[in-house]
Amino acid sequence: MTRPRSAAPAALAVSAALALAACTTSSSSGGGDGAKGSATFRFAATSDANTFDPAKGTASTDYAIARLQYATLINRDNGNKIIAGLAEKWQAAPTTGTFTLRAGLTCSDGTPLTATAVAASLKRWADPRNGGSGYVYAFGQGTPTITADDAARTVTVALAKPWSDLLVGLSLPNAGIVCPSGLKDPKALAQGPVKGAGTGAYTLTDARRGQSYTFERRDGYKAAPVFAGAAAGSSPAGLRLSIVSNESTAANQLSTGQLDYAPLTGPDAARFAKGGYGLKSAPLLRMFLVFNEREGRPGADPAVRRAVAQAVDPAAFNKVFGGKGQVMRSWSDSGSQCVNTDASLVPATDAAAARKKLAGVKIKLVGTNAIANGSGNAYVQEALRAAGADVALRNVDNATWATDVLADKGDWDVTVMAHLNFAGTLTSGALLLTGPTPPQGRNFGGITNTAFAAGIGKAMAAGDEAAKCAGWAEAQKALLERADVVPLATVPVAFVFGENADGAIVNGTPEPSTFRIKS
Amino acid sequence: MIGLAGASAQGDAPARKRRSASRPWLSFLLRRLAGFAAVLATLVVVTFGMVQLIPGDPAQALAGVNATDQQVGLLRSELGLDRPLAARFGSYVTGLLHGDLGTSFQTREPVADVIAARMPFTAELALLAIVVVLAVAVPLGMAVAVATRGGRRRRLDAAFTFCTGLVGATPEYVLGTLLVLVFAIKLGALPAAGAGSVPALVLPVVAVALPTTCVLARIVRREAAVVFGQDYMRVARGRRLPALTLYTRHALPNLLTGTLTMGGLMLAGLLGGTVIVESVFAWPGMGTRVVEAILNRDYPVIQGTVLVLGILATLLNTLVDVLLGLLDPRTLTGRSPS
Amino acid sequence: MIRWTKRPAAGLAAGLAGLALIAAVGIAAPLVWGEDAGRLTGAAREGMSAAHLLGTDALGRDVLARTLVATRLTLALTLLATLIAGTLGIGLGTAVWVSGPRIREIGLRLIDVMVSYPAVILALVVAAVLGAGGGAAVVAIGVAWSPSFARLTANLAASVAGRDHVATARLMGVPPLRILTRHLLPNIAEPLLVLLSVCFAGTLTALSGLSFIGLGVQPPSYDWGALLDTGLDAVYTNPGEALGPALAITLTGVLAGFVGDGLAASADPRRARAARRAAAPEPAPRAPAPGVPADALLVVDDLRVALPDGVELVAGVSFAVRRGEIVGVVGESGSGKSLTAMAVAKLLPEQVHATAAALRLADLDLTAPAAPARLATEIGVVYQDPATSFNPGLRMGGQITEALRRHRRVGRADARRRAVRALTSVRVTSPEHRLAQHPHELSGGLRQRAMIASAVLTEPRLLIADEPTTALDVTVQAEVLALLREINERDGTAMLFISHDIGVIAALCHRVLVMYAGRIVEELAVGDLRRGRTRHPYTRALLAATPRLTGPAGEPPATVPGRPPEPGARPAGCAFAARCPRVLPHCADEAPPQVPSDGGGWAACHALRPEPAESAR
Repeated sequence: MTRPRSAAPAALAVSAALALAACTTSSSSGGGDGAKGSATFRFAATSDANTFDPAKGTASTDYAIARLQYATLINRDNGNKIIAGLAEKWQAAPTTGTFTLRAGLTCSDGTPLTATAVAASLKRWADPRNGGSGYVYAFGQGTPTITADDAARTVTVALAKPWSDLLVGLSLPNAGIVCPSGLKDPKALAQGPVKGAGTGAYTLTDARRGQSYTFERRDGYKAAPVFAGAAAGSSPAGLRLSIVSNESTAANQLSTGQLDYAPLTGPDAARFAKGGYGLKSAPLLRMFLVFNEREGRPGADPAVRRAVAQAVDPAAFNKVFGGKGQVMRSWSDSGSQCVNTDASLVPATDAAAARKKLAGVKIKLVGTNAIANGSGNAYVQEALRAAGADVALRNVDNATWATDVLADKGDWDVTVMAHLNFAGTLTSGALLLTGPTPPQGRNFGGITNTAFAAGIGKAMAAGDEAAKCAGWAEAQKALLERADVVPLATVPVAFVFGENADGAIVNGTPEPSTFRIKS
Repeated sequence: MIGLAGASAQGDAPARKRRSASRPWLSFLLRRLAGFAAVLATLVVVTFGMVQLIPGDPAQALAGVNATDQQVGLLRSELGLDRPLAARFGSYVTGLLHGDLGTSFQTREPVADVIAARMPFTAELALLAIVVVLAVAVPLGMAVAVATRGGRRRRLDAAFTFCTGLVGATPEYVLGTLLVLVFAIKLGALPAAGAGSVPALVLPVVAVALPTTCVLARIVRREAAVVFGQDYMRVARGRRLPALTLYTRHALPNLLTGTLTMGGLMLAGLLGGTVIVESVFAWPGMGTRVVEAILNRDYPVIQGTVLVLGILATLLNTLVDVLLGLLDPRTLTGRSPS
Repeated sequence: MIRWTKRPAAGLAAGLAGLALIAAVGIAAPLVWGEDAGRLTGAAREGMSAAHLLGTDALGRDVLARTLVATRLTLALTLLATLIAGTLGIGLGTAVWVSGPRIREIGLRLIDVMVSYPAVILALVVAAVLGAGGGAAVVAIGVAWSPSFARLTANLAASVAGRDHVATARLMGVPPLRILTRHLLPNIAEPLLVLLSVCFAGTLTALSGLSFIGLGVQPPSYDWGALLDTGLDAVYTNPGEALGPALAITLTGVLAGFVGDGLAASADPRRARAARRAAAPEPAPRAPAPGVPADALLVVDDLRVALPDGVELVAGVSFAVRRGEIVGVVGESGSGKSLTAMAVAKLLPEQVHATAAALRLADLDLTAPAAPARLATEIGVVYQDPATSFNPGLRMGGQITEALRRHRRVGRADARRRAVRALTSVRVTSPEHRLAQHPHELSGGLRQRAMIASAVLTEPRLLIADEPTTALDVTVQAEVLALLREINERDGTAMLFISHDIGVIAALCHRVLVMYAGRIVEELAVGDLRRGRTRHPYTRALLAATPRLTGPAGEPPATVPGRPPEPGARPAGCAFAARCPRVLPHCADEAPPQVPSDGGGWAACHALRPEPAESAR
């Protein structure tokens, strides 16, 4: 074999193998080990769990594990409809909530689950000293008083200040109820399964860190939520969650039948458009610009903020991530309760107008590189540059971004906020845009917008949805008017189910307890 | 590469120390022990210092976007990050002396457990890859060297150089992706990813082993050509030995001294260097854990894994040197200039 | 140590040319395609088409243009990382070498560990410290590769430092740093250059690997790795996006590999010998066979040894060795004497082949494939350099008894006993102990005696000694010669003794063959040689160049002006004609006749012809 002759076939082999990829999606036959007849539903997550303690979870894998093991008092169905959980009845006012538990509830080891135990679990979560997360979404500012009446099977939550998100907050995975055996040993609870701690439909039976987690269905579990969009098929006896950090790898496993479900944020989702896969999409990240509005920063000038909003085209930004996202008119997507969808509140894209204000302005742009390698940040930089600004972009990893921007320890003017709004509410984003600045509070941009704060106050004190939305409308208008944030677009995630699998996506999140195997 | 191998194998034979020639193994071990202690101390200091240099606050990274400052502060004192640097280093070293590698910031597991959970996967992959590399590269390199000795079969020579060069120059994640495309997705013959079954091992091992095999086969081929040209090979030919005896008994050990010097180091590098292949195949090894730890600023896990990998590298290095010493006793004293 | 050849390997040329082309692309591409590469066409992630040969990326930019434009940054980063690795590593290696022995020992250990430390992990930590980006990646990869350079530098410095001129410089009190820059670095530059090219190829893939895990070049800059990374995201949907950068990386890596191989090959002295030779001349006429004595053990008739292109290195040699006779072959290096000996031993190098009208040892026909057992046991060979003739990895005992055990089927214990006896007979002290030792534990003289013991262990009919004393000290030389004579007298072993040293030949042999340019020019009894009764002008010149007959000489004749002709440029007549003081006009054109002499020998020379030619002088 001479050199020139061997080079050509080798090069061809490479291109042929790469070209094969294009037609792989048309082949519909799964691997031999498909979901059919398998009693175990296999799904993937991109990162390992940080903790097994529901109260402490901060990442989506933590939440998924928490939802399987630990039931919440109530659940939230699509359209922000509250449905039953451990509680069969509930009553809520802006400052209180009363929950009546179902009869005959048990922990995973069969011991009865009393109202006192439920209250103890909630108290532990609500106590700031225990390092729980997400309790602010449920209880707002201040520590609530939580009481129980075992005879009446009721748990009562009395809030320090009005907080109309109580029910939503109590439906989040962080609010999962832990049985007394788990509360006794929080350290063990964080590190793996504790016998008898669970209250959910599944128990964790085998934990292999970084590799896989196996769950077993609890027989005779009665408190399972009934979601309107629940999928058909049989409930699997077991679930296996594998950690697959590379999305293409997860996609490969889906296409070869090694997995029944995986969430895909990248272009790999397109491989499953054909061939009997179940493809559901929801917003994963809500992207918007936040300014550093402190003295001396360009963002301190409302005109600059407005010009930036005119320079950046949310539709073009959306295209960077494949164009499948949703252009937003607020800091959350249209699925959130009370969100603004009125384009007129947001400055229209107007490069010429932007140029007048931005020419020569020096802007330090920071963004995380965890999302599509920071290509969204690169777009913002290009757009601002096109408007004449002198933009220095820093793409950093999440940890550095959190330190530099969230804790305001870095040198930044504008950041591309990638908000993983797990609760899917306006509240979770708003909490980052108001109140004291770091280190006292979380208003990292140093926004002072009294009308905005007032609107939030009204929304949180509202007794019904109409009043709540009126408050939110006021708040959003105030924020968008001053261009304190520039809404961009959502980055969607595609939830791909294998040929023989299905599951419900509730409020933009896959509900692992609804995973089904189609017969 | 050839120079590296040649220089260390033949080294400075004339400048050998007479005093150590009497008990070469004892002197070798003593020197190794001293070197090991120095290496260990350096690793501990350097890794501790290096992780402190990584920008980003671990507590902030861990607490998440929605954490209040109170929560972050609570976390910081829980992790011991509010203590001065010297005190932290002190307790780290004290812990190490008691065999305690610390506790993960992120998952609160003991670091020793983290490593114990991940190491078997990495070891499985690396050791199998090493076996494959040696089992393929050495015979292949030797066979090509035999076939092309004295400038014969120039086309085979060129083809070998080109093919090994091509595969050796292909980034391993591209190679891994191609393997998955062909064998998992197109042919459905092997699992696309995952760990725990024998078929699942095949593609990752091949992806790790293939580029290294190519590089090593070239080294073997060149070393073999050097060895075949040595006088003692002509002498051995003069004894009219069968080809197999000639190449295995006379050429192979000498070939391995040069190959091992270079190849042993490459193989040691595999232990932590499979990060990328691990990512492609969702292989729960050490490499991906280190990446995760770095992204989460999980100082104890970074320090622990980096330290353990360093110790392993040192041990493997010593093992390679012991093997070299067995193959060619001159190397026992020959590696350090005197 | 290492010499460059004038003609570098084809691979090196191809590699350099290819890299030059890529570098040209790197320089030109941003100017030519820079705008295309940055233009947002709005057509995101389009497949391959005529407008976009490799499709477009997520922002609708042309992948081909981006691949081409990325060449500059990729090459710059790769070069920079290589440079950092080289500078850091060579600095570290030399620092370790220059420092005191204790620090050096620890430094070497540290370098060892650094070399074997997973480079990816090291790079990850460095990249994390510096924050992801091109600069961090370059430093990370540079740092990760530097131990290899440090190791190589330290090793090479150690081996060069052992050489005489460096030792001398040290003794003269030259400061270490000066020794380093004057003596060491220039001597080790070539292997370092090879490593640099290897490092370049490695750096290229390592940089793209960092991009793959998100720690490489960050947008808006892009190198091939970054393009490949984003392309791989879409490899299953739009393969073109990954194809371009993947091919670019692989191609450049292969080219750099060629350069590395080429450099290594050119730096390899053994390849340097394969120089081009002139076209083959007509083979010289067959030398008339001298009368073969009746008691001849070895008969060589018209032996020719030729290169594949037909050039004869030995051009028709005929002689015989009688039982119990020591025949010496003397001549300058390149005269074909060693090739003649090796042709008899059937141990010619791969590149040449031998033909002969007759070549036999007693009843063993050496022109045909012979039984290995007979060859191994009936011909014993003593080689020139005892330092390199024993396998360094095997114990002496195994090597000495190998032929005996394999071909005579002698058991281990018996072979050992015989080896001890043989070693004792060549006056090796504590022979049992020697058998368990490795070659490097023996002195040169001991090794050569062991070699002789090994050669006679199978009681061969013929002992071929190819310059057995050349590599030895003068006193040891004498001992070895005495030993060979003793073996000859005691066992009656016939010997073919090769040497360039006419003094050594005269001291040992019975009969002498003088070779010049691949032919025997004179055969004479040793008595005639000792008495200076030589006849051929070349033999005379050789003798004249030797200061004393019995003493050691060592240098080839320096007083004979000129050099022997190249094998391919040998004249049809006498090859010595050009240097001969008694040259006749027809010497170079006509083959000289064999003129018999009184002592039973002969000389091939026109000038010695008995019927005087018209122009004798």
